[in-house]
Amino acid sequence: MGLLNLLVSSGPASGASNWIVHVATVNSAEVKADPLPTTPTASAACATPTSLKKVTVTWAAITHATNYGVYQSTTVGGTYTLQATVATTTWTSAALAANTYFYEVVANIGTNWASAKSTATAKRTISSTICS
Amino acid sequence: MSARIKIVSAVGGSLLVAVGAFAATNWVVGLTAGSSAEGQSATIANLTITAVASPSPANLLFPGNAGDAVVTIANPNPYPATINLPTSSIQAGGFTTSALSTAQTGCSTTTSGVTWNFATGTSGSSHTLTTVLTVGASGAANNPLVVTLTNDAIMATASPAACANTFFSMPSLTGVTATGGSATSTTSPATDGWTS
Repeated sequence: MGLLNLLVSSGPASGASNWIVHVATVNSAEVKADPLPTTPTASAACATPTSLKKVTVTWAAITHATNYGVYQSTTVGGTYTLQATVATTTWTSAALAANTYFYEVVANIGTNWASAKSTATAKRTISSTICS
Repeated sequence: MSARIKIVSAVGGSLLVAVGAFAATNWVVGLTAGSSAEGQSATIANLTITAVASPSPANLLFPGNAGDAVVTIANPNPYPATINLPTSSIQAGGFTTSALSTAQTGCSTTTSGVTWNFATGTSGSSHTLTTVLTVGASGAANNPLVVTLTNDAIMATASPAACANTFFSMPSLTGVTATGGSATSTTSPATDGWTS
């Protein structure tokens, strides 16, 4: 009681007063943060016409996600490189060279919150003429 | 006591007493040696503001967005107190549980990015509550008063991933203004807040 500055002025006979009190508390309110975003599940399909040799990756929206990172690799368990960061739930590649491609998607919230990479790796194969 | 003003020093600060036609005139406060005051029937005691774990906030924080803060306000005085809630832009520290006892690694008062919403400075900024909050008198109903302050905490876009799924102890609400009187107390638990 009586900590720091205290302003008291009289009021009506009911006992009304005006105080400015410094409340001695270690904490004043509790707030909780969400967990990191859940992991997306991605799938890949050949863009049409398949002769374009493009792959479209899609996934379901993740709650509160600001954007999504789409990663690509040519080997399972290999090095995945970021292809694009998009705010939508689909992404289409540029025309690809003949190879097998694997995709993973990460959901981001803000600058630093990211989900784990999608566990369902999406795979598409590009031949010299079509995507399959 | 005649109508006059006495300025006295309170512990760590000062006490200004302006007395008029007033029944309760004896203010008992912690005073430094050599200071003086008069009165008797009323003892002014600080309100106590603490964090609570229940009810749990409905709107949780995530980067770039606001969330609910839950607070308990206890009034030890023998009459209701109507308050406002000045805030500061000091960052809140993160804890692993709602007990707020174990600090969350990587989510501290220098990194969390969690502050009171609309706070304009570290020394306190005042906000107008959407609805007036009145805490009941000591021993009366609605004291302590539990209030959910809707969307009045905010998390910065760059808040670190370490702050996910974390509980925060918000910076103390310093400089609270309380007005004693006969106002009807707010029903607890209540929902309130400020929007600017």
